[in-house]
Amino acid sequence: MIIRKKITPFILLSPAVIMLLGLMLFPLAWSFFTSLKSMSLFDLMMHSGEFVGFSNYADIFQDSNFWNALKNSLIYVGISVIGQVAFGLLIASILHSKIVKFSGLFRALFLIPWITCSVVAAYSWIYFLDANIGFLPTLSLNFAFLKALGMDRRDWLTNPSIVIFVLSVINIWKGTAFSMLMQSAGFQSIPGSVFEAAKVDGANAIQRFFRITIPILSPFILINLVMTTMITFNIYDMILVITGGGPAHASEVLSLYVYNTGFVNGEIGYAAALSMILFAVNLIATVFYLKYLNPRRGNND
Amino acid sequence: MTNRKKRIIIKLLAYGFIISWAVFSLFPLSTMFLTALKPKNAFDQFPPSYFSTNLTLDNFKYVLFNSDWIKYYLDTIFISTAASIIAVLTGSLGAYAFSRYQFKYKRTIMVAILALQMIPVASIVIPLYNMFATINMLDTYWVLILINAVGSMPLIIWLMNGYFSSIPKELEEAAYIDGCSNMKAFWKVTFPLAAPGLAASMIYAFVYAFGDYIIAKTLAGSRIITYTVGLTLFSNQYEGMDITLVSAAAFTALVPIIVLFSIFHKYFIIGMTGGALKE
Repeated sequence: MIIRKKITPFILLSPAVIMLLGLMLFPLAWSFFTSLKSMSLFDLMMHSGEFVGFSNYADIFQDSNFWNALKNSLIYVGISVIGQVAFGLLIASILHSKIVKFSGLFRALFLIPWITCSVVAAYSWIYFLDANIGFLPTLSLNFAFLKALGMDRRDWLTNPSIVIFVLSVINIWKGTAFSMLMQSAGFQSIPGSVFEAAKVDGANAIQRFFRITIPILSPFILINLVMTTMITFNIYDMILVITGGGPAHASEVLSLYVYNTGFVNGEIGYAAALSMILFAVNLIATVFYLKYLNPRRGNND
Repeated sequence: MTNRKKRIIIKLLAYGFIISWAVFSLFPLSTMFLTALKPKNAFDQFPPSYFSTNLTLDNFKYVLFNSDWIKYYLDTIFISTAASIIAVLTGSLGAYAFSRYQFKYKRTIMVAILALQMIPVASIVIPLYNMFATINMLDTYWVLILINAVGSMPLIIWLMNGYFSSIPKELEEAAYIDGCSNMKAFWKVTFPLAAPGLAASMIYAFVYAFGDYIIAKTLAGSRIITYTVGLTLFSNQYEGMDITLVSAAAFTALVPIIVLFSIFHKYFIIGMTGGALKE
């Protein structure tokens, strides 16, 4: 009976743990060992590949495409995260304050881009911005004010100097609803009586915002920032469909660069080393998250 | 007086912003819907005639009845359903172990599982390709089912652990005393109480698998084609000329998600935010 009680949890856990080990941890370990080899796609098929130590890692620092991808990731993540969290906060505060009617309807509308899967979202934007058949360029032909705003350009996705910004805006479009939900939860956690008390004490709206709203929301904002940063940093399927990283690497973010290096260029060993860098960034962020921000820490012990 | 003016200005600004955001949110998808309703020749000339009232359902008919689309679509639904069942079954078993038993290294295993979730897909997609190529399982249902199940599993374990932990142990113990077996106590007492969590997990796992593109593209894509990959094939096949068909196909892909969302709104949000929000 005692033995049974001791092994029961392990029996219950084993299917999940076996699958997680086999399909997540083992591949990660494989990536690490492969990153120490010089291996092409051909070597992969032949199960060969020469051990080269850390030279793949040394190459990374000489690789201008890597630095370019890192720069693109910083721009993409920076604009997306700031935009999503700021707009999410703004929308949540307007909907919460009941200044506008039909807030439930608006909330549901705002969630639509977020629940749309990436590939469908990607196509809707490709067609929206397309040079010849796009809706926005066509619309700009008919409305002068759009032209005045510069909306009539036809190179949204083909101009290397703006493409990463366009993709960031698309990502803000897609992801802001998540921030809106997080911040709404924050607003709901503020008891109304706190505001009443502050009003009675003579605090004005701006004081109330900075002295009450922001401090109570700050843990929600912080968690929101970390989660959004990691999601944006790791996910690249929408960029893969819209531009594939082009034109000429102009929209290649780091996670997409790992993918392209492995599957397009066939440099398996080097891609594995790059993927370890990507993983390291995530590991640091996770440790930070667990140590300082874990919202679930309270209720599991 | 000034106070009233101020209030009106704030109200106008708020409405202005909310309405522009609504337009921004809906524009690309609604123009895609409009495109799907256009006859093919609407895009032959420049500028394309978006504004004519010439509408047709032919594109939807073609996509649903005369192409492989419906096969891609049903395959994807099958894969997503299977993956979510596996993920929820194995994940909630594991979560139950965490919430009800004390054992060695419990805390370490839990944190490790949460950390596993942070492994980016880009870091493991090449080794996964290699593994499944070695055992000759590329381009099968099982590859996509298993990998998608595992992808959503860590979050489900955490989510369900929270739900199981919130159900007092005493309820189960009372059921034992009343003569229930272990299994019966679980099915009669714990399971119904954890049902909202299970629903949220199920939806999360389904949406996760349904939206997958990278795995479906790299580990399958010639025999087993999911609709996301199918969509890219569709558009390549027609060299982007037949955007009416691609739009119609893409729009049908939105339907199951919208339906799930409107029926299970609350669980959908709990699942998709990883239980960070429990309403």
